[in-house]
Amino acid sequence: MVFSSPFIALAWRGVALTFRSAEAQSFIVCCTLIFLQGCSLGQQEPLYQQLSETPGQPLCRLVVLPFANHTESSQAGAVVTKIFASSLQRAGYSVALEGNVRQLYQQLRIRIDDEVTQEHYRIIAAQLQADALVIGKVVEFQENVEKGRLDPTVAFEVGLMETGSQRRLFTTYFKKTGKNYRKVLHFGLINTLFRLTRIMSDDVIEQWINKGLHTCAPS
Amino acid sequence: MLQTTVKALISGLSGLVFERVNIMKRIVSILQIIFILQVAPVGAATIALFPFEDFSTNSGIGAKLITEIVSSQVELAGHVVVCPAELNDFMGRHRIRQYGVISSEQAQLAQKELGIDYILLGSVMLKEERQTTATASIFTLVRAADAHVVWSYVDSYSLADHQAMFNLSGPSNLEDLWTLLALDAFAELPEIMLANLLPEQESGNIIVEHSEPNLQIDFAAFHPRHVKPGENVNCSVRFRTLNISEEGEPTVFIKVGSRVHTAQTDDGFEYEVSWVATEGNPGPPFKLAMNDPDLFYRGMWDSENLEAGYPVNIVVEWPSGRHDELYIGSYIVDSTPPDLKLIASAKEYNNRKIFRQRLPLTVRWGRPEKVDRWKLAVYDQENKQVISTKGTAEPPASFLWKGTNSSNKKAEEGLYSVVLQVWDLAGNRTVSTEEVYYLPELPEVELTPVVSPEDESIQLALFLDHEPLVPLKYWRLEVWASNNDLLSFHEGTNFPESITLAALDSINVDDDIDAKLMVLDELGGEMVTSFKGLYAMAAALQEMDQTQDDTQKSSGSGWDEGF
Repeated sequence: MVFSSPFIALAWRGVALTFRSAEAQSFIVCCTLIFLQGCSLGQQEPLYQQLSETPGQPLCRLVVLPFANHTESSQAGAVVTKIFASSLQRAGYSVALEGNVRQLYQQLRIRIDDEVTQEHYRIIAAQLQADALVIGKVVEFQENVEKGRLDPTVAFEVGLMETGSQRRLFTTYFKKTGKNYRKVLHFGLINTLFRLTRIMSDDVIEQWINKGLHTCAPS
Repeated sequence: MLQTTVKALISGLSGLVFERVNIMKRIVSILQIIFILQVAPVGAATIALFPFEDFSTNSGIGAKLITEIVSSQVELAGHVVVCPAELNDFMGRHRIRQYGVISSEQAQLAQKELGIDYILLGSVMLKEERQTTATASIFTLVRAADAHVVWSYVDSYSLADHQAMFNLSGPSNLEDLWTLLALDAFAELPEIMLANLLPEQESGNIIVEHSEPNLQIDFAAFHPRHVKPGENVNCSVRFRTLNISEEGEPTVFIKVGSRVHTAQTDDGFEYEVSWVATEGNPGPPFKLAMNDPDLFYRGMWDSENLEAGYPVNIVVEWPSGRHDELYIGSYIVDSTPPDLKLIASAKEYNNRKIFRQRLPLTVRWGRPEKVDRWKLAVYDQENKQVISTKGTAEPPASFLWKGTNSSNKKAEEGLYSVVLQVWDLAGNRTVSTEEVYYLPELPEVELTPVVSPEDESIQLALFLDHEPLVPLKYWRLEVWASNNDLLSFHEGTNFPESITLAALDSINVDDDIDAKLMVLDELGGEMVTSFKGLYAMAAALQEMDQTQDDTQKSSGSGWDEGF
């Protein structure tokens, strides 16, 4: 639409003629890339807190406990739990089946929003043979409609507990909106809660790995 | 090769997608044409597409469409999709009602009964509201033999993703979005299925090293979780039947701390066995019941004498020699009553706590502990309960007794015992008692006016009807004329021997004076007493004294006479 304007088309033609050499065109491409990169530099990293020393051994088998849901959306906890487990699997961890976790919750008579005790953690870890438990809660999970577009917002807190020592290794709080990932114009905008949650989960796990959490994935 | 073909196909199809026709049918037909020409891959796998969990409100539409697409893709790649009717029967048989999730036991059952290699689980969401139309899905591919997740996918497409880009023609409805999503999600699925087949599966000889726990407990419970030393602990455990039926009857042990409780299995349902410590020393006997039909194991033993937490593990030894051990919980042996004290906040006089209107009571903990129940009661001197309250879990940090009984009426003045009893989870009880004196009223004050015959002045004597338990703090006497003029006032901390009121100019019966006495004690109690007509009172008292004197004289003469 913008480029259909005869004036701008003419101007663009002029610029192209001016920078006809390969070096000049490379320079323009580099400037564009730097501009696009600059737009994404404002993104914030997850708020990370290391609570204990990262174990030297890789944590191969993880159990993702159902995330507590502190939002008004009844499905937020279930959705974020599934997406985070999927991200862990793709990062190379062996993740216990959600069905096994639910079965154990049923056996221990724990409801999703109940407080899980240390004793429960021990039993879950033992019965599902977990190296670590992923414990989280969803704080925000909503879609706002702005000018006919969806702008999703997700905030969650997630932590990792090593089962052997029952130590909390990390805890991370992360809040993002779809707009936070915008690069330029509409590029990079995220329009759905699922995609935003997936990207955020991937970011958190990448951060954990960068901080020394080893996977068992074959290199 | 296959992956490249599918990707090429997707890009070729994009034109069709944007033409906004019924693309699904076209995709399927083109896929069929291409794959018919290809040779089915060696080592084809079988997959069960379990019904998808649907997060959207208008459920069913998206899930059905995506199931069709994935069926077409994996079938055309030479893999086998389990017939939906057969899958429904399986789910009904094993009471699988929850969509989108499966347990490892169910996965292994599916492998055995349906002969499958993989299970595809999915959770989908669709929303169709003009520009905010969107689809989302989470897919998980589970290898049935070891219940291992080999692949997962999460993504979401919305119309806004495509329409934003210079308004090019793109997907226009939910069906288009689903198709794009399915093509993206499952492009690599056939190859993933091939790549993750276990070697034994490919050869058709399935010997799987389970990555999931071998020993799966269906139910485990303790009673009680907190015990006094020597009390019985009951433990019930039920295993799932899957592997037990295959491997034969196991020997079950219950390991408590370092002690192992063993069982003999030759004589039926309930029998007595003895446990042995790891050192080999025999210990006291305990009972273990085994109900074979349900594979229900129940253990009962005496708790240890030493206060501690005792971890309990189930140990199973299989006929094959395999040894499984599983932590199922712990119990606490506790012989120490809760460490707390009840403290009554009242002033002490002569080593006695005295209160008037309110008695604040505070519970002070020495060592915090979980509590089962509590009871607070007030008893009178005859040990009769006046009022009580009770509750479960931890008692409130403070109580307030307003000196009333259970009928909400004021209790009588006197000595009371306030008793707080607290039981911990093991049943150990702590009793904390406070003795308090309830003093609802101040003592009565009496006033005696005497008129001097010489100058008509009045001598006032003030005194209490009994010795007060709580010292007076302040008193004030006001003398008022009948025309509401304050004639004089007197105040102090202790009552004086007497107070002299000067004579008035004109005194007659109709023009008397009044007194108002206010007394405060150290507990803050206030009492106001009015005395009307001091001259009249004095006259009446004088007359009464005269009468008494006369009576004494007359009786005295009688005595004398008799003597």
